[in-house]
Amino acid sequence: MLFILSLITAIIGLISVTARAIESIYQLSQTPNLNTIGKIWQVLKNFFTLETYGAK
Amino acid sequence: MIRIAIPIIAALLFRAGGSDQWKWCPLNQKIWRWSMGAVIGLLAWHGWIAWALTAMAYFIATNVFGYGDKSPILKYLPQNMKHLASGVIFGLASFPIIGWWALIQAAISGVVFYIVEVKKVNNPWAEFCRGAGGTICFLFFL
Repeated sequence: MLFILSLITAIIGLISVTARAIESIYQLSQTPNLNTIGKIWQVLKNFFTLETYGAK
Repeated sequence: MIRIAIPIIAALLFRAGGSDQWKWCPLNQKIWRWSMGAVIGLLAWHGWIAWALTAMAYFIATNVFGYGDKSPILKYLPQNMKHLASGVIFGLASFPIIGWWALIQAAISGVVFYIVEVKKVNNPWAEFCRGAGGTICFLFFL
């Protein structure tokens, strides 16, 4: 049972990380005129940015 | 491959319909979430009837049974229960495609929605987890 719960949690986490990575790359369009290093850094920043709970 | 794509796309659509991420879009942002059933129904193709039922089921689950303060039905429930119920119904919306496995999906989805609310998980992870947790059974039972 514990194994199944761990597996489900891991899969949901993996899917969420993948979706967030796709979104982070998409969000590059909001910060134009970056070089390659800047783009990589911006994607990482986008990935780890959190929105305050309940904020608009 | 489609099995893997469905929860990822569902997570992205759930997220897109929950905030102002896609500001370029002139439509109501919620439409992305409301229409996720149409996309899932196409990806997990089971014929036009199943597609129409899936689209309708997800529309009802995300529109009528949303967890927001304006939710027409669930707003009468306590905050945590509202999320639990919304998650269960979101999971049940997969019934036209995966059949009775939707009951397992509903249980998983309800628990995910509940934990995300109780633990106050921040966006964007909250919405990605809801979208992914609510469609994870497509990975196994499609």
